[in-house]
Amino acid sequence: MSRDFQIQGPAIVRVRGGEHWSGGAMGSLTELGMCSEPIKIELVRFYRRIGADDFGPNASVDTMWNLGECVVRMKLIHFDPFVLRDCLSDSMAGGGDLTQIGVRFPGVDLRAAGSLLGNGLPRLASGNYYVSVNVSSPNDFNANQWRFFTCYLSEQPVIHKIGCEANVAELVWKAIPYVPIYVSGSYTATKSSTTNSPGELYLLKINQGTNNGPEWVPQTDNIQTPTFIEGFVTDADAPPVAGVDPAADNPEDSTVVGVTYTVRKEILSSGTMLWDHGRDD
Amino acid sequence: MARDFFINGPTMVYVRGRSDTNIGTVQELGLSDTPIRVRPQFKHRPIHVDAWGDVSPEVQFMLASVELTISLIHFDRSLLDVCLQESMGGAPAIGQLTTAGTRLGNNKALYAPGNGTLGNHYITLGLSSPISGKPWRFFACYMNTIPMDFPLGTEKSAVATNWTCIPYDRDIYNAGLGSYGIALWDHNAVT
Repeated sequence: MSRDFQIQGPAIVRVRGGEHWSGGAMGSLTELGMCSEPIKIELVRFYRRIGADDFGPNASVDTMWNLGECVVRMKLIHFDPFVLRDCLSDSMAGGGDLTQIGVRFPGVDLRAAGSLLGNGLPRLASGNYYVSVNVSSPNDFNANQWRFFTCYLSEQPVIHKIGCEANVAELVWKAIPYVPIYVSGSYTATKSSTTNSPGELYLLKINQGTNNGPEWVPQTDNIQTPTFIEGFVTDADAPPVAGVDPAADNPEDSTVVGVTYTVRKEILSSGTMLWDHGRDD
Repeated sequence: MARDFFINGPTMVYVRGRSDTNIGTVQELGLSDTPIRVRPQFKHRPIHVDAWGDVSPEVQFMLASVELTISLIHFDRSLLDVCLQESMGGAPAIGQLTTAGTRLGNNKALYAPGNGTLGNHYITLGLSSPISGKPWRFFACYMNTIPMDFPLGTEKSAVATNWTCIPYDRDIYNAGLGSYGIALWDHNAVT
């Protein structure tokens, strides 16, 4: 690609929340709004210098990469205030008086201090309050999409200016490299892993794949491999492949209903994702 | 089209607005005593590059509006009042105001009925062209800043009116196309 002016064109912001919004607007990709100014995407990276006495007190011998976050700043002027309210509720760990499906009033019934947003759940699962923020623009060379996987409204979002002028909601989204974190322990398989019907129990690799979320892989020989945790199939393409019996190939590759497995998990940041150029359809 | 003198001819000003007003159907507003001035206002934004100094190597088109100046000499006073009221966001009576911040479009289609936030208060302005056969139709207009200059005296009043035409549309994203294809004016009669 050659050098040129980069003009993305009219941009629209869409959001999607977890399955706890099923039946409401946030249960699927929905329009949040359009902005009065360009949307700003900032990449915040964390580094730690490594020093050595031999190099003096200031110069670094080497530098450690310590992940990063994305900050997405936007000023919404043509927006859906109810969707914004639901985003705010999720960013407050799902707080708010739930009077009907898909409707919350975040200023009422706050969650307890210390409540988590992810709760160790896969992205877009019910109870995971991170919001997926999608920014589309027709002329963006990045295939027209920016998708920030796990976001929350940070800093001090200005959600209301009460007056005669058109209300501008000044939002600061923070996208973090979230991965589901499970407590080590024992898990009892509720299904044998010889079928792949949605809803059955499988082992879930923590590292996020290149698609919408965690990568589903079969249990390995060593069931105490730290990268595996249990979860539920939500994608029809998850393994094992229909008709293939992993138990026949390697008995350790399958779970047996009723058997308790001990799984030890570690947090793996390698492969986590902040954004891609896909879209939550 | 061959080169020739362009003579518009006697130009009648037509108006059509909110369907539940006296301009709900096409009405003759009046005739002008001087040529009607149509002035498109293009908005261009230069892109600055340090290597090009103070001159821009490229500009972006940032849409346009149209300003019209019409000096009415033979006109319907009551219809002019309706135009003023609608340009104020649907004022309840001539000389009265609407609430500060009242929108003119309200996400409604042109000519949608209703007071206040219920209706669309933009006015379609039409200029006839009996000689050259090239009328003008400005879709979404309102009387702007100084809407009229009304001299009162023993002589006939030639009322100078000022109008602005904007590219109004309810869907401002339009599947990523934005304002592409939105009409400011065309050369058809107001219907």
